[in-house]
Amino acid sequence: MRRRTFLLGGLGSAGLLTLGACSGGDDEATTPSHDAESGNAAPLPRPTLRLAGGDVGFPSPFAYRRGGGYVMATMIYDTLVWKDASGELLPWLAERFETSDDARIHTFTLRPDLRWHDGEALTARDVAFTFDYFRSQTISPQVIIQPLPEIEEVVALDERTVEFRLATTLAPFFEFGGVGSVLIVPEHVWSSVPNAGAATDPAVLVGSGPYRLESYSPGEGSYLYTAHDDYFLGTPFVRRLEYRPVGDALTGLQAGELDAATASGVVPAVLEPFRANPELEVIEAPPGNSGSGLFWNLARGGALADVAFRRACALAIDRQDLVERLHGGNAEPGNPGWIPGANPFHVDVEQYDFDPAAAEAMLDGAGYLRTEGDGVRQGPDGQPLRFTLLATSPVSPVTELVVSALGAIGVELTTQALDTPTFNQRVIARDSEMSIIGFGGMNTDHGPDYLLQVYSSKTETTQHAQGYVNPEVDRLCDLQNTQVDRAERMETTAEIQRLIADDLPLLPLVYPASFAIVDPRTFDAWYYTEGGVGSTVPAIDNKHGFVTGRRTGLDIRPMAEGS
Amino acid sequence: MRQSTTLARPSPSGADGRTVPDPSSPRPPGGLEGELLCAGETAPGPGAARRSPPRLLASYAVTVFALLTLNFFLPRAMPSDPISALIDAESPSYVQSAELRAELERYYDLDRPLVEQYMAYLGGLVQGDLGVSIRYNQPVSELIADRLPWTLLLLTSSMALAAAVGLALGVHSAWRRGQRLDQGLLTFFLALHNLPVFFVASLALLVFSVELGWVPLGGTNTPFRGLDDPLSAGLDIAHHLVLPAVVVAAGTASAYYLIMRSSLVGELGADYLQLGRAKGLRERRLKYRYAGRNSLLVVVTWSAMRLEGLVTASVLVETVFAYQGMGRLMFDAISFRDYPVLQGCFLLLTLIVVSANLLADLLYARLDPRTAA
Repeated sequence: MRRRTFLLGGLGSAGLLTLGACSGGDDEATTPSHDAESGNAAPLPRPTLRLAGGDVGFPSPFAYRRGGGYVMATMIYDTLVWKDASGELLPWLAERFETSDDARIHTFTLRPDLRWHDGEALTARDVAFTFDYFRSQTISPQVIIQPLPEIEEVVALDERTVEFRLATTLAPFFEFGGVGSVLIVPEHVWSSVPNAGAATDPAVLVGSGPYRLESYSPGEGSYLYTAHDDYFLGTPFVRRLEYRPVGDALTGLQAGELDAATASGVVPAVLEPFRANPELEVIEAPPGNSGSGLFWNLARGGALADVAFRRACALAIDRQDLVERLHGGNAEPGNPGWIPGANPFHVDVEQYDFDPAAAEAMLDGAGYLRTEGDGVRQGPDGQPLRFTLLATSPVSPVTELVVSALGAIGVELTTQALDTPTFNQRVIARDSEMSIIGFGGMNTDHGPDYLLQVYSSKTETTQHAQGYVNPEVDRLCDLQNTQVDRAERMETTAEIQRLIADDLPLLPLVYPASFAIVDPRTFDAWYYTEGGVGSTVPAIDNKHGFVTGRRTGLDIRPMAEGS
Repeated sequence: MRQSTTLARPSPSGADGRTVPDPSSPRPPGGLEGELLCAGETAPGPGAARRSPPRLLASYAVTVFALLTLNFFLPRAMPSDPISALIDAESPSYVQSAELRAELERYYDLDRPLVEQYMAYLGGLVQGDLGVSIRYNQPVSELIADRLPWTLLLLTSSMALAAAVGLALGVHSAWRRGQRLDQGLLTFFLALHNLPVFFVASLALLVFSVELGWVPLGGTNTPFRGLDDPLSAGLDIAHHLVLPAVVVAAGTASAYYLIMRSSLVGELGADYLQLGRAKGLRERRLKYRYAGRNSLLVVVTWSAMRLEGLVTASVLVETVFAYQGMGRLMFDAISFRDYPVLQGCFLLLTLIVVSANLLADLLYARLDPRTAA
């Protein structure tokens, strides 16, 4: 974890530090190890890349939707720092920064002569404006990157120097909602826009990034970007990015309409033809980009609030079977400690391995007995273990397998399938007994913060552990958010994982693996960014790779003449 | 298809006729409307057309107003709401607090009393303002302007195709009713008529796009091809259009065929045809100019009433073929409870269907002078 060490160095000591442990100096670019990592140095014609489209909103930093939309906006807009394949923070708009002794003031120096696409100078004032402007706006919750509330003040000290003053030390400051993900916008364009979310005229998309948006069709979800040849890092290696609307990305790739496609949780047979094709390359991301969980609404009391009941349910569900049956092994069983195995913050916790006999015994011991002839157990309070299970429509096989597994130990679930808006409304209103809820991005740098958003009783999200209050978990969740010492933060999150696995307010069921299938003939520097694009989105379209034509570093790969 | 069984029943005279045409066939009892329309469906024709144009317009205005009101309240009768649809269940990073929700509701004016929202909606309509989409953050009028041309292209081309094929074959079939050709066509169109449109669409996609590769998988045109050459751009659009248009046309053509055939069979024994024949007019002229034209009356009325069926077909076909028209827009708007877009789409449909009926009323008078005042 070089990047961590590097970051720790940056945060732990005062004084001037130059970003760019991996900034691609000449020496580094020519060392064999570096070459092996980036994998490519030979001049190539500048490619046009065709990827799967799909509507993720108007790609302004204030109007896109979800992680995919954020990635679209990153093509046009830049952050102060950015990550390559290694997860290393590279100097992007900023060339260096320094951190105060108390780690609550970070001062960034911008690169000289930065320009917006319209030729105006990009200054520290734009950076300060961006953070202030976000705060002044009502922005849809689907705009996933918004400045962290702990960033108290952002002040432009001069044209190139900008100071971030934090209310507290802040672990994710360089990542989610901080300088590694918040896209900087031009003051001269947005200061006159009263409603940022409603601005959908392409003319507002004046960025500083490597690409400009040529066309976008809402609904259909096609996006066309062309390279901004005067980019501050140099002419971007990839000339043109086409996000094409295709019904099914893998079919599109097979039909030769795309150069890359991604798939999640597919069974091996689906990947087989691609693995067998010597012209294509399959890139695997570890499980944890998405998942689903079984939620109990503890606020309803009764058995739902009884940890013995919840643990018995967990013992009755064969999560390894979900992995095999639904994903042909291309998945990982859900972890009661939430954080997937590949995430550096993961620790081993109680797994509740499949043991229906133990589940029955646990229920018997806790006073849930089969007194009626129908096989449904009754609690000590005389209430039968009959619950409604909310799920989104169409009902997934996961839901059906959970219903049957719990039925076997005398817990009767009736599935109620709802369309997404209705499902969300019910879950948000806590109008549920049990539910199956999907989630994503646990295997990014955002992983530890998710603990706070899911398990702390102080936050409200759709994935929030319903009715769960453990003051110790609340305290630790807050604590880890402020711990800039990585070792300390890992210790805290380890303790949280043990506590939540013990209390089990929800049971993560299965984490499917993600795959990218790419055609290296047009472009050979595809990668899944460690920790996620912008520390947030598990995707293969990191603009870093498109700009440099490499997997790591800031050197732009030589281009074939005339291309 | 509710009408299909009625439509398909061969006229009493034509069932066993082997010779063409049979001048002795009597007009079917009960008149054409009785034959063609099921209970509950009444032709707006003669009765309406007899009203004076101002009264006619007034009654249409009342209808439009009632529909506008319905358009406002119907989307809001669906469970859940646009803000819940906006919150994405898939990620815990979408913080969902009561304050944010209240703020968003305020932002989209959803916090105001329903009556106030309704008045604002009507006020906006008067000024030609359809509001702003909650999902796309774009003016509804712009979204519709982007999509409408594609749906119009799809509908007009499929209508034209359906009318040309369905009417011509309908006339032909009726003229030779009972013969092998008639029986074959009748069986074919009856079968086509009763197949669900999404099934036909999926099947066509599978065969002609996936297996044979003759036409693209979907969309309205090849993305990012540029517009350098209008001719090839037009051909590209046509290439994308042909399969969805044929699928929409298939259902409609069979209806046209059945109605034309049934209507014309009723005309076969008419006196004017006898007279024409006695005058020595050619068969072809009698068939299309005389009998066919007279049967058009029913077709016109029916076309106007069938418009909403055509719109339904286009929603399904646009979804299957990822064709970026109004159908897709509406489909997505329902999924996301995008009230302003739904209102805008419904308004447009209301206006189209109502004006088509009005047009039919007025046309009817032209086609059949007896119904004019």
